Formats: sequence, C-alpha cells, structure tokens
Amino acid sequence: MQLLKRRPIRVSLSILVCLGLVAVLIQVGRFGHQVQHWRVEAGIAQPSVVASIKDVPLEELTGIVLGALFAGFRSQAANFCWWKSQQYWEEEGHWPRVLPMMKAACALDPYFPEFWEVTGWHEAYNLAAEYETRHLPQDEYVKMGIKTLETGLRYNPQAVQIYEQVGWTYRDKLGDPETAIRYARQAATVYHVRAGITKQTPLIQPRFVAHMYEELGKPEEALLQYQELMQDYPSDTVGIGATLTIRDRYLEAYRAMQTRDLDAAEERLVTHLTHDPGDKIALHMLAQLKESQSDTYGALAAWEAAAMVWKDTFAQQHYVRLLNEVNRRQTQLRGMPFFDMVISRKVADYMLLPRETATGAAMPRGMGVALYIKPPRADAPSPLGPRMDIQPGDEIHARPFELANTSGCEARFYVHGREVARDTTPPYTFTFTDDMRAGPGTASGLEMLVKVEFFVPSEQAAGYPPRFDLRNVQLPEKAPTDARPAAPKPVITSGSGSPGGTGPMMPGAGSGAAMGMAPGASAPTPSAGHEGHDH
Amino acid sequence: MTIGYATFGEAIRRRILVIFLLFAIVSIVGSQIFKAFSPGEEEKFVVDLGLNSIKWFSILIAILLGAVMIPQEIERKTLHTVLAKPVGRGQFILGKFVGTCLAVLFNASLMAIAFFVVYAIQQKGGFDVSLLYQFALTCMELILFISIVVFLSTFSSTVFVLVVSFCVVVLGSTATFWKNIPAENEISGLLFLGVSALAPNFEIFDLSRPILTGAAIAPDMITYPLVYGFMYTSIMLLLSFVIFNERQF
Amino acid sequence: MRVYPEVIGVASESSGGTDTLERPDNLPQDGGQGPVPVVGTDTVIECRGLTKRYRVALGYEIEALSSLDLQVKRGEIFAIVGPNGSGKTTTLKLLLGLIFPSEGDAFILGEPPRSRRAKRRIGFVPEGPFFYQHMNGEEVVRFYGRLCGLRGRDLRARTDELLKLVGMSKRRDVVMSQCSKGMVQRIGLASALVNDPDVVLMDEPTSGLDPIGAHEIKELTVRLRDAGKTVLLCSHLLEQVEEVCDRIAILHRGSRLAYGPIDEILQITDQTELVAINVSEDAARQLAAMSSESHTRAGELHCMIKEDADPFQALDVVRQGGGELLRFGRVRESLEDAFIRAVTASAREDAAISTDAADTGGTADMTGGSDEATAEEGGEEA
Repeated sequence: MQLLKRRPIRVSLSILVCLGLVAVLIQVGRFGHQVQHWRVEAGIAQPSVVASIKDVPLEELTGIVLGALFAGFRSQAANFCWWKSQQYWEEEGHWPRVLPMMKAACALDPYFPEFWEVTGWHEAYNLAAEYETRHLPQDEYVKMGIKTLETGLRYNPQAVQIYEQVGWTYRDKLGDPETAIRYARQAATVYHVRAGITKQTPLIQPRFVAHMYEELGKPEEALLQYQELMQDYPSDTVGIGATLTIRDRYLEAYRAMQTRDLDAAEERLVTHLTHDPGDKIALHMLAQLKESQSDTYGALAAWEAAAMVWKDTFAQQHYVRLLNEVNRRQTQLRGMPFFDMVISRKVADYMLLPRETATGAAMPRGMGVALYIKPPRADAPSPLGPRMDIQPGDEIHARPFELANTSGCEARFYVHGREVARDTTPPYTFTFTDDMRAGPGTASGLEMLVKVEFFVPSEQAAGYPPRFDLRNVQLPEKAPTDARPAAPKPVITSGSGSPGGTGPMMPGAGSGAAMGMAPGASAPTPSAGHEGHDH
Repeated sequence: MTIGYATFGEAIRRRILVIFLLFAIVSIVGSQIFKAFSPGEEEKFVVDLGLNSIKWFSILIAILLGAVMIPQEIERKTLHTVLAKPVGRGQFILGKFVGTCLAVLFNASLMAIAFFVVYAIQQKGGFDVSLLYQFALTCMELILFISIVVFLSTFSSTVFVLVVSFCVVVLGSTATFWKNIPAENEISGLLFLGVSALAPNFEIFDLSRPILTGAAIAPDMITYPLVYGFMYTSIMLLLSFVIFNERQF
Repeated sequence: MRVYPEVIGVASESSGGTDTLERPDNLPQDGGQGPVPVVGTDTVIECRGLTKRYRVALGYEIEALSSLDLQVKRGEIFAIVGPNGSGKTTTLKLLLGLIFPSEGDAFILGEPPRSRRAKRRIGFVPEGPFFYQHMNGEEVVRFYGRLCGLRGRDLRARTDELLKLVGMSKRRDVVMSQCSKGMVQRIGLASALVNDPDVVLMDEPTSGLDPIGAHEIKELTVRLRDAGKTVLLCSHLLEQVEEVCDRIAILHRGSRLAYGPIDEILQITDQTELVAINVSEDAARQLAAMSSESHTRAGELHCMIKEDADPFQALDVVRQGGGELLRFGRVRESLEDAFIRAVTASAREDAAISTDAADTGGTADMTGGSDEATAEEGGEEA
C-alpha cells in the first residue's frame, strides 16, 4: 500500500508490465507445448509418461525409479530398471524378477527399440525354454515375446531390428516363414524409408527373405530375392553361392512342380538327395511334393528328416500337423487312436530328440517311437499284470510297469527325453518306476513320454540298403496286429520282426559342404537321408 | 559487462564448481563401464548418462551460482556498493545473467568435450552431428534455466531460490506430463493448468531419441526450441528487470 | 522532479584541490549535457520530510525514519549519529536509492537518489563492506573503477594512487576472503573514491579498525573535506565523529533529536567535574549545593560544578572536608553526553525505553581513545 501511495503510477505500471509479460509467457508456454507436439509427431520425442507408465506394475518400480521418473530422469529410470533386470538375470536368472524390470524399462523408455528387442527375445527364447510346460506351453511364451516385440513396434515403427526380430522369431520358434517374410519385407521397407541411416546393415533382410523362401520350398522366389540382393551388393558371396546352388539343384524340380510334372520333380529331388541326403531345401520340397501327391507318410518322413537334422521349426510344424492327421485317420480307420492325444510341438520335440552321438557315426540311428503314457491313478486297482501288452497312449495302472524290447535290435529308452537305459540287448525288459515320472518337462508328473529308440548295429547296417522306408511309419499302427501274436510279452514295437521297421540311417551320410544358412548346403551331422521312397 | 566478467571470475574460482566439474567428467567417463551390454544398449547408456550428466551438473552449477551468488550479494550488501556506482539495476541483472551463463556454459563445454571424447571412443571414432545439435539445445536450456534462477533471485532468498529452481527443473522436465495428467478435482486441475502454462518446457530440448535411433532431425526441431528458449529467457529477464527495479534492499 | 534553484546553476568549480586526490581527466562526463551543477556552499544533500516505514507482518509497520529534514552543505563533514537502529543506515540507503521513501523526498547533488548522474559523483563506503571474496584488493578497486567507466592505464594509475592513499599498496594482492576487517574497510574506502566523487557517504567508516587505522580514516576524511568534497558519515562511535565533523544530526528511533553545528550542540556542556573520596558529609553537602549534579558511587563523590560557582572554591571545600581529590578538571561535554542526554530526554517522553539506549550508555562510559576497539565491539550491531 505504501508503495502505491508513494509511487502509484510507477508501481502500477510495473505491475501492468509484469502482467503483460506473464500473458506473453503463457503464450510462449503454449508454443513450447506445440513444439513438443510437433516433436512427438516427427518421432523425435516421446509422448507423456502418463500414457506409457500405466502398463507398468507400479509395485515393481522401486522408490528410486519413481523418484527419478518424477524428477525428469525418465530415461535414467528406464536405464536403472534395465540394468537391474540384467543383474537379476545374470545373478539369479529368476524370471519373475527379471521380466517386470525389463517391462518397466520398456514402459519407461518405450522409444528405445533395444529394450523391446531384448525383452521379446528373452520371452520367446529363454523364458520359453526354461518355463515351457511348467506354466504355459512353449508356444505361448513365444507368442508373448512376439506380442512384446509388436508392442515395441507400435512405439518404434521405424525400428528395423524389431521387425527382423519378430520375423526371425516367427520363423525360428513358430515355424512360420511366411509371416517371417512379411516382417522382413516391412523391415526392408522401413529401412528404405529411412535411407541414409547407417546403423543397421541392410544386407540381412534380403538374405533372410531369400532363406525363408528356400525354407518354404520356393526356390524361384528365393532366387528373385538373391537377384535383388545382388543388385545392391554385387559381390555378396552368399548371394552368388545361393544363386548357383538354387539354379543347379532346385530350380528345375520346382518348375516341374509348378507345371504339375510331379514325377520329374521328384526324380530330380531324389537324385539330388542321393548325393546330399541332408539337404533341407530338397527335403522341404520333397515333403511338399509328397503332400501334393497325398502321400502323407512320405511327407511325414521328409518333414521328420528335415526337422531332425536342422531342428527346423517349420519342418517340425508340418511333422506335427501330419502326425496329427495320421492319428486322426488311424483313429477313424481302426477305431482306436494311434496316439492318445493331439501331438503338440512339445511332444514332437521329444520325438525328434537329437540322437545320442556318443558312439559316433558307427552307431546308426534308429527310429524312435514315442509313447505318451498316462500314469496310473494312485488309488486305482491295477487291472494289468506284471507284464502288459500296451499300446502307445495306453493308460498304465501298474506301478512300476515294464516294456520289453523284442525287436531284435538294440534299443534305448528315454523318459521325458532323458535316457534311462541304453544299449540294451534284446530281448530286454525295462522297468519304469515312479521316480522316473517327473521329468524336466512335466513337472506335474501327470503324463509321461516314453521313447524307445532302436539301433541297427553298424555291421548290420551295411547290409541294409541306405534307404529309409517311409512306410515304416505305419508300423506302430500295424504292430499290434502283427506283433501281438508273435510276441506274447508286452512289447513296444516299432517294426519289431521286420528289419525295415527301424529306420536305418546312413552313418555320416552326405557329409555336406558348407553349413549355416546357406541354402542347399547339407549337414555334416548324420542326416536323415531319404530317397527312393517309392513303394 | 564488468559485472558479468566478475561473476564469471567468481564462478570459475569457486572450488566447489571445479569439484562438480570433475565429478561430472568422471561420471561421463565412467559411463564406459556399461561395456557389458550389447552395442545398442551401451550407446544408449553412454549417451543418456553423458548428455544427462552435462545437463544436470550444469543445472546444479547454475543453481549454485544463480541461487547462491545473487541473493548472497544482496544479503551481504555487496550489491549496495555496486549500485552506489553509476550502474543501472537492469545492467546489474544483465551482468549477473551473462556472467552466470558464461560460467555455466564454460563448464558445460568442458563436460561436452569430455563426453564427445568418450563417445568417440565408444563408437570407435564415430561422431554424430546430432550431438552438437543436442549440445546447442542444452546450452539454450541452461540459459533459459539461468534466466529463471536470476528472476527468482531478484525477489527471494537463497533457500527459496534453491527450492523453487529445483522444482522448476522437475516441472520443466516433465512439462508434458503436467499438461496431460488428468486432474482429480478443480483445485488440482487449476494447479496443473498453471504449471503447464507457466513452467518452462525442458522436454523440447532433448534430442537423445533421434541420436540413439539415428533418425533425421528436421531443422525446425532445432530452431523452434531455440526460439522458444530465447523468448522465454527474454521474458524472464524483462520480469527480472521490472521486479528488481522496484526492489528495496 | 523538484529542482532546487540554489543547486542548479551554481557554477562549476574545480574540485581538485589537493595533491592526492586529482580528478582524473578522462572520468566520464555526463555526455554532452553541459556542465554538471557542482554545488557551491549550498546544499548537496537534502532530505525533506523523509519517512521510511517497513512493513513487518500482518499489516504492522515500523517507522524506521520519521519525517527527517536534513541539509548537508557543500564541503562540510556531516555526521548522522545515533544508536543502532536509529535510522542512520536507512537514511543512507534512501540517499543511494537502494530503498524508496514512504514519504518525503531526498535529493543528492540536486538529483533524485537513483539518478546515475548523481551516482557518478557519489562514493559510498558501506558498513563492514563485503566484496567479491575471490578478488584481491587491487582487483576490487579495479572492478569498481570499471563500473565507473574507467579503463586501461587511467584505471591502473587511479588504482595505484588510491591503494597508496588507504595504505594498501603493499597488501594489494591479498584476497578479500583473507583480509582483516581493517583491510576490507580500507579497500572499501578506496573503491568508494575510485571515481573521485564529490560526495562521500560513509556508514560506520571506522568500525572494525584499530585505533591507528581509525585515526587514519579520520585524517583522510578531513583531507577529503579539505579537497572540497562533502562527506556524510553515519556512526555510533561518537568520539571519532566529534573530532572531525562540522555538523551533526542525532537520530534516535527514526526521529531527529538534535541537528546543527557540533559546537552548538556541545555548547551547553562546559562544566567542571570533581571527583573525591573521604569527603566529610558537611563538605559533601556544600559541594552538592555548588553542583548541578552530584552523586556518590563506590565511595567516590562525583560532582559537576555549576557554571556560576567557583571551581576553586569547591577544591577548598574538599580540602577542608579532609577529602582526597582524585580528579578535577573542566569537561567539555562529549558528544556521547549530548547524545545520551538527548536520547534519555526522548526516552522519558516515550514510556517504553529501548535497550538500545542502555547499550549506548555502555559505550558512552568507555570514552577513552584507547578503549575504542573494545567500545566498538561492545557497540557492534546486534
């Protein structure tokens, strides 16, 4: 008041000026918000933290993080969470602690693609591998990872590496090369939109797409891809090599397939497989060819071979699909199921378990038969005697129960993928006990996967034609009728009584040339050679 | 200008600032410990830590210089001797502002050089022009912040300036948050509105995202924040002049 | 703006009158505005009804200065004296434009206090100045020189000259944070004089100085006056003020209690003091009758002999009464006495006597020059 009395004009002028300046300041503030809006639109700034933090389970965020967050250290908060998650992962590998931290980092700094990339990868790979059936089927974790990656893409539609990662996960974990191709193509598009960026190597995408086409058994499309690739990178050795290989090995067969000249196509493929039994592309093409010929078992064998040699999810998916189809058909046919369940990829994993290689190439591999056995209920009276005649998928109420190998070949027994007896000499009876029931994959112990693998001794193997009779797959189906009278004991047979019943493998067949992702290369590992599967 | 020079001199000779500077440089160099992560993450950590160290240590220095030196000068009556000389009050404020800016930007430049070296090592000789843009924007941000501190210093005591300027940093760094946060009632709504209308927006000076993703930065995205910073700074200084002119000591 | 006819239009006189304080030729003149009105024998500083009220809290106000009228003539040393909180510093601040008056006007060199024209010709030495701690003495002086527009060689010359003047030539490199109070005070003085001001305002110029330093400052003050400068100083160290100033104003609680030439204010106080012990009761009675004031303290009889009484007769009374004479002499009333008298008179009117007066009373007891330092400490602002 005294100021006003004393210097009324001056002070009120000052106040007016201040008010005017504040008004201008508010306008400037609006301009600032507008600039931020433009920045968000231009993709160089993140929108408000309000939107992104609501997904984060707040109880997972420590006080430090929250404090940092509200002090404007958002990026640091994210870094802290990330660092913490890495620490948990390395020290404990305890997913319930690792994962929320990673998710928090993603939510706090959603515009940093690597967070999403690595989180998605952890879910689809590490989490899936470690947790699998314990909580959810493996695929669910893979899908979870893919979902994470796709969320990351929402925030980072320009993150080439996330597209690549999603594509790869689809291909690698879900056996879906077509979706993989879609993502790889998106990655390429984004890459081209962001031309001038040097932080990613663009070489990966066309190669990847080409590989996917190879995997899909579409060498022509793959070839086109390689040609595109070589326009940009004329000296790319992978492109050159692949082009040559594709032209040399697959193109004709493929074209023959396109013109429905299936016999010619098959002939070409089989000729090639004779030289290189582990050739993945050829196997894939052959399987597709067999399917188009409605030769389910032929296709099944081809897919199995590919899946075994290459741990090829794509092949595995088809293998599972066909197994289920066979199962369905057999059920209709016989009135009883071949497998007492829908074969999942989990089961297929056991069925396709890598063969023991300790004995080296001298021991040819046999074909396994997987039994999915429901364990007895504890209170149920056992209707079976000490020796049983069981079928795959039978419920066994005896504890323990036995399986006898009367096949005439050595066999190994696996429970839940773990070898429990090896190099057994027939006739051999193996006893399964309760403590074998809980395996690494089935913590609940509610079901049991038993696999018996038969071996043909190497000296004998020489006598077998290096061929794989695809019809053997039917054996379990036939076995009950053939084997039961022949072998009164409970027998799990896989071609017992028939030497062709086991799938003899070429020892070290077709030690291929280059490995890796190069198409047409054959595996140096014992590969499921198959050719001359004509009946 | 003499005042600016004296302020700069005082700032430079304060030992605590040297300690801060060393600490900042150590932490920038220390960001090299994130070697364990993948290259992308490592770059992010180095960039985040480096840029933020520059920014936050500079802000600390600015708070110390601005919030401590000007009120102290008033409290200890050094100001009386200065104003007894033919020096306008506006000149005094401008001199303080310029001197503080010089000192802070000088320190920030030292930190930036340290950071650029670390970044070049981490990137194996690489250098990103966006980093220079970022540094320019950070400088503008610091200038803006100093103008606010000077403004606060014109009418309040050290402790008040310290507290409020820290709040300003917090609010400014989360400006969009306050604009978007849903208000629970009218009072908080009014509060948020006031904050988002008046608080400076420090978010627009951040280029770390395009730096990390390698996205192109449109020139507008540099000039607009600069224009904003310039306007905000001007208003703050004008307000300081008006208030300081009416101030009694 | 009010214009004082007696101020404006007085012909400019050369202000460089001494060998030590030469006005630098290049000191910036008020660009092209004609000759600066230099005050002659007329008013340099004028306060009219100058009132300053500070708002405390809840609408309460305290009046730090009430309706002060003051005129400082050119070339005199004027002192404003008063206890702490009496409004001395407030007056100075008002004159420097650091605060604004609630009522009344102040003019310095005919300009309102905030005019930069006036400030070019003002030097101000604050009480216990606090300079930039990182600078050394020389830098401080140079800094203020630059603020006044001095540059280059002139600045250096002026700095050297002033440092020599205040006796800091050899200690010019000492950083302010390590300077003693006295050194800071000297640097403060040098800084105030750097622009060769016509008016020098000093707030407690001798506070914190040792007796020798204080004496030097006093000498310097007189030299400044002799050089034609006007000096306005505020102090509660009355002893020192008394020696140098021409006119004084006594302030107490914001009010002017006395105002005028120092001789006038001290005039009434020429009395003879007598102190004796072992005086007989009869003699004591006689002495009391002769005295304007007498009292016994610790067995000592203190008497102020009336002016019309014969002091030698009083001596005889003491001798005849068997007493022993301790002290006898004419006491010119000190400024302290005048001050206390004025203050207590005012305090009697005002029922609520302040503790400030008691503090000052304590100071007043210690009148000896050698006790200055102690007195200064005792009288330090609360």
